[in-house]
Amino acid sequence: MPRILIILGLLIPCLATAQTQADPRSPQAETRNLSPDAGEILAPLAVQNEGRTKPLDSFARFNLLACYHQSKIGKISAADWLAQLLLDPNTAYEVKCFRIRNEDLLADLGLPKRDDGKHVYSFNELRKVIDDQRSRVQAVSARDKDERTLIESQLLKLYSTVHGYFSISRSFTCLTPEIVIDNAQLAQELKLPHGKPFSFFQLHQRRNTLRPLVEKLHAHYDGANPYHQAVLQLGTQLRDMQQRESHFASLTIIPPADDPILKTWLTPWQVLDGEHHATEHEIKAMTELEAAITALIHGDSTTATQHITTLQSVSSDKVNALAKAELSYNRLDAFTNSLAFYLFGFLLLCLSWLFAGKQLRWASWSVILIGLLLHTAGIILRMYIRGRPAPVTNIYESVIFVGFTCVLLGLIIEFRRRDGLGLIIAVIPGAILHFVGFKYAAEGDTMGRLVAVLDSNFWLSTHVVTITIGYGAASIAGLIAMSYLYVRLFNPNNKTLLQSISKNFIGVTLLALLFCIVGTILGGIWGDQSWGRFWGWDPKENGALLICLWLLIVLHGKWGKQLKELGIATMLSLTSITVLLAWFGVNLLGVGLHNYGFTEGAARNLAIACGSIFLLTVIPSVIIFIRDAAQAKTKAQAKT
Amino acid sequence: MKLITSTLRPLASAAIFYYATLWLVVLVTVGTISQKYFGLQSSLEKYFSAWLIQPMDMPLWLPSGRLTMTIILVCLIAKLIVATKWKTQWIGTNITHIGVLLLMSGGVITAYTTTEGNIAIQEGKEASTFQDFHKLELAVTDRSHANHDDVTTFSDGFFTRDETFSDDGKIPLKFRVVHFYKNCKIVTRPAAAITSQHKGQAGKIQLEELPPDNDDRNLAGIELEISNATESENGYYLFLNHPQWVPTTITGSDGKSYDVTLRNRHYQLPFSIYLKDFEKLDHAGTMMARSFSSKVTVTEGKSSEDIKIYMNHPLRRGGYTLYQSSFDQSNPSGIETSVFQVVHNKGRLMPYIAIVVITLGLLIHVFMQVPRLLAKAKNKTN
Repeated sequence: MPRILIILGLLIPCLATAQTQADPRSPQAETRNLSPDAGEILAPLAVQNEGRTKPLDSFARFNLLACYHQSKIGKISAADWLAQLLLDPNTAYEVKCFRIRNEDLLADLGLPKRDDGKHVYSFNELRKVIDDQRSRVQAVSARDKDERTLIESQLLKLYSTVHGYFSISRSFTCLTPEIVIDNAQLAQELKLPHGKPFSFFQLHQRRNTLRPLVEKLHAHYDGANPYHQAVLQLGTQLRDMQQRESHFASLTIIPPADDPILKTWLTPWQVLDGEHHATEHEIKAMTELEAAITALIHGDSTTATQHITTLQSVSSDKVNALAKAELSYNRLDAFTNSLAFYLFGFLLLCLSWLFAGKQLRWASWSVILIGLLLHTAGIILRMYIRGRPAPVTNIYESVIFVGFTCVLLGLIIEFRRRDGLGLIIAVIPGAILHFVGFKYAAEGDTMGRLVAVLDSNFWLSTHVVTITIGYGAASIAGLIAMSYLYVRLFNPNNKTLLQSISKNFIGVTLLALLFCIVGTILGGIWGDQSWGRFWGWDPKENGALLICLWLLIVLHGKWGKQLKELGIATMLSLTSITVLLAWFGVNLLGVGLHNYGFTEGAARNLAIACGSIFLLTVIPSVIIFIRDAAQAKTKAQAKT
Repeated sequence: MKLITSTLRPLASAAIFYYATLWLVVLVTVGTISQKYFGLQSSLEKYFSAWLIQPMDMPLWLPSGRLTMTIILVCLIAKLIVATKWKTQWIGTNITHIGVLLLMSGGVITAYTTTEGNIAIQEGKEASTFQDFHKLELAVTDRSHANHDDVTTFSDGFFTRDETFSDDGKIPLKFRVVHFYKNCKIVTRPAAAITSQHKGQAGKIQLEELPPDNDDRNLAGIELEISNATESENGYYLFLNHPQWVPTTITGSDGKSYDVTLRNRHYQLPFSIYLKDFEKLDHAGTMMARSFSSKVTVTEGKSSEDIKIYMNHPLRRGGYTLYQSSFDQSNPSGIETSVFQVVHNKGRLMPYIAIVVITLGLLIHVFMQVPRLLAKAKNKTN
């Protein structure tokens, strides 16, 4: 009898108790025959995640990046991986998709090392290991970030990734066929198939029929009666499922009736929550989603596509258009392709040197231009998706945009010079910054929401764009100056060439100075508009000031004759260091209002980059200096 | 006139600018890194607001930010007066230099006229004073009047060792600074050092100086010798700038009671602000703030006005600007507190004028010079 009372609790559904451990039991019974194109069909579907709507394709990529550190597993796309995880979790749990890079962490967790050195594990291999770490993880996460060892931080990350993965996998369990009624009478009363699986959602839709049946049993329960047993069993299963599954489900895919951009979306389990009164709109979305899922599970792609289309019509056109645009953005992969063109262009340039081919150089110029057009297309698509008139709103976009500025400037310089120097200047930063961009993109969503203070289209499109162009121009000035040093090192007698290069770097320095100074003052004015002070010696402000001062020193040193050509080129070549410090370095200090883009391992990479620029500048510069001094001495001796 | 010219001529030198700016680069770099370890405020005071700096407490005084920038400014003024060629060729450069002069003059005005602080108001409450972020004062309150309190304040300019201060017209108490620390902690006063002269908390604890906090969470403290109170109350007292530190009541030689407290300096606004409602909106499904806004009623004399203050949309009135800067939602009753940053700056328009001038100057210069500098190279080289 008490069990019946518990079941009654189900029909007055209760909140699931806090449960953090992955439950090894799964209600799934049958083996599923998924449509091979399930991933592609689900990919354009909009979901809300981390404060913004995005296509399921992006959601899949970011989650796969978190587990596998790549957005594909061999030939399996992220969307296919996610589709399997959502529609057929038991099979997906066998897929090896968790990559652990640190061998010390493996040893710490007692996981076997893989011979291929890749150390990739399936969820089933990890679940027990991870659950055993629960109390340790709690202890570690209670401590301050600075007081965690590397292994502990990585363990925390792995723990939350595995849990996140498991949560996603339980998102659709109220819509997939998980429940079977063996009793014909009960099946008939509930108008549900006898002996064939159906979903929790279908049963939930009949809760008003089920409730009186349970209440009737409450008065005279007979344990020997198969019908009574079936009702009890069904009730228990329902309660257990709701308690267990709804707690995990994390994919918010059911849009609200109005304002889907700003209002919160729900997970399918949240729609069925006892405390939530599902609207007609939500039930319609659930019905369509369930029909699509059922069709996909039975390999019926055509029906699934139809239902997905209807489901999309439930959401707003704006949301669908954005999701579609982002899907195109993902598939275009503009920055990877633009990198390919830059590298191919560089190859053509090298060939043009070997064969002294003017045509080859122009071919190289054109190929790099195609890369730049792709680069531009990627930036414009992002601006549309983010709904911002500014190409730069976060550090990732600043990397992409500085790359764009450098390539554009390089191509312009090449158009004027026509000797290949502009192409080198274009490709080197263009390619390096794409690689840096990939590093940032591998961290997850690059279109995350902005913190409130940055949410100003006017200032993003004036101050941020100007200062970013300034970074680009200053780097280009530095690179031209560095190439001057090498030309002078290996070809000291070609005075006209050296003179033309030195004119170029002064020209670009003036351009850089314009953008850096205007950008920096604009930043100050934004500060005055936002929190009442024009200048506060904040690290980012100081960084920008440092670039401006450095450029001013070089220019005034030239005019005041404190610096000769070698000194100007050396100082200017070091400008790239000031740019890197202002751009990335100040974030490492972890203080100030602009501290928005810190990445792990960044300090080391930054030190390597600055160190390399320093050596690449100082070594030729010192050699030239010594050589010139020696030559001057010989000349003087010859005279005497 | 000739004298002025001959004095200014050597100052209008590119070399002075060159070396002063190089030194400024050093200061900016060190002053930035220092913020991680000593907090923004103390680094700012040491490397940028100060005239001179003593590196690592060596017996050596070098120019700090203010002096270096003054040298640059003097150099610029001298250059503009005596060494500028007013020719078309130099028009861009000259306009830019005038713009920089405006910008730096704005900096000078700001450095000497700005007051900034904050004001925290609970929903349903009104306020008309704001507190400085860093400057301190010793406030002596006479509560003997029936319908108002008489507050006498002494600014932190007095807070140097052995400095004495008093306000004979208003209060009898006289003060002498024994110790003053911008950041300190309290430690037990050794029993041997306690005398009957140590009053209140000073009879148990004393202050120990700390370096500036790297998050600017400094606890300022002062030990004062107070005289001209009643005979039994003359002696040494401790005051800490901490919200939980209770003001000390001392009876003066005139028989009146005075509450003495160390606090952030208070300023009076020419209007009052009543907070009707504070609102924080989050990005959907997250805890990340999308916007903060405060609905306030501003009353000045008999007129009042309803205004919404939110991010990037401050309230500007009577030379004061109020910015939405922070909030507190921890009150369990649901009553929220909104925090505004208050700034009074006579130089605030200068950067706006300067940027127009500088942009114009640099654009002219770039358009005149850059096409020539990026000229075709090929026919020359080969």
